[in-house]
Amino acid sequence: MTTPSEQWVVNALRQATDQLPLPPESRWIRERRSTSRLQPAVMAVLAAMFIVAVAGTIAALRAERIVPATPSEAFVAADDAAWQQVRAAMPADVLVLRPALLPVEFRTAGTPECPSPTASWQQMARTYDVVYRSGAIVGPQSKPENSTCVRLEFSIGRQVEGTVSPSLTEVGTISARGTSIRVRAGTEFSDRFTGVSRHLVYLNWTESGSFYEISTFDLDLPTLTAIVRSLEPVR
Amino acid sequence: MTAIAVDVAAERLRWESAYRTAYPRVYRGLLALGARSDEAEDALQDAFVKGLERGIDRPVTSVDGWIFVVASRAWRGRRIRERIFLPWTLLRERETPTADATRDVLAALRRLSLRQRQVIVARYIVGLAQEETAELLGIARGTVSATTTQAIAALRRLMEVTE
Repeated sequence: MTTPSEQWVVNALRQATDQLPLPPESRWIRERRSTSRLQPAVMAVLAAMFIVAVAGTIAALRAERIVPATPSEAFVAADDAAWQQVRAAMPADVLVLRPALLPVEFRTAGTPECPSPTASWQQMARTYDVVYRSGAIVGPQSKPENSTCVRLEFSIGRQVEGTVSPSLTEVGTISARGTSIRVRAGTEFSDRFTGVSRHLVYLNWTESGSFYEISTFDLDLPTLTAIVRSLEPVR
Repeated sequence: MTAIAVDVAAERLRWESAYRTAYPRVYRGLLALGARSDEAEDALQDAFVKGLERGIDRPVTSVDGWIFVVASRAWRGRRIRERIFLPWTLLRERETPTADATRDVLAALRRLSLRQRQVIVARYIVGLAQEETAELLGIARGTVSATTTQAIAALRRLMEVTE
């Protein structure tokens, strides 16, 4: 219950904010970055060169992509701190599962733009998350401040599994943790900052009354399988 | 069109419709919190994409509230990064008040603490109930009530001083 004087303040606030102009509706959603003024043919050549370069790099790195998650003292310290934070925050009967294997790009202690790993409580999802980030991606048409981090996210919670969005489609299963874990992928979208096409990869399962999620972008099934099978309890 | 494609299209439309409905209130709420217009636009676009990626079928109290919390988090993250990485002189230029500062109540609002601003904006601009505000901001309902009372009293004092 508000008094008349309080109501006056609230009314003044609402009137002031109602006068704030909105951006045109065309700018409310911007999933696809407008790419450039270059000719389409030039764009096609650049895109082809980019794809070839990325494919070559991936092929070169694939053989040793999955490696033990213990590369440097800085990373180990940050990794231990993040998982101990989760362990301390969760009830003792919740199994906190930590990956022993990580893709090579997530084995670094991160950068100021993309700190890694970090642990945080997610109020909305009611989960504790540990997020690994790799170096910032800056697309050919984007500014450095608009870089985006590649993420690999582990979530642990006590809640019952929520309904998975129908926009995610099942792309495979992983036999691990004594169950069959369904792997889902989102529709491909263009990263609005970098212009790079990406798709969300998401998997979840319940175990001993707790809820576990892994979400990331673009990881393939063998990599995800290796990660899930490497999960170990944090003591 | 396959059944899956229909589901995906329907899901997207549903989310986009909810987002567009919430947009004016949340955008203005972000400006009231202290965001610049470009920051508010970016933060809302982030929230839209995040909603698409994670799905909106997770149990949430209020779509408006979810968008507000996610967008304000995105804005604060960007602001923190700017504070860390931008040279002070640049930051000062970017924070120069615009015409908004001429609106006394918004200028007064920006002198409150972040928590007070969040609660006031959530309650009176985004239009969330006390319970929703408490849940979304991760604080007790009593704290929402007390913070609201303190913030309104502070706003009134500030506006009286500036009148």
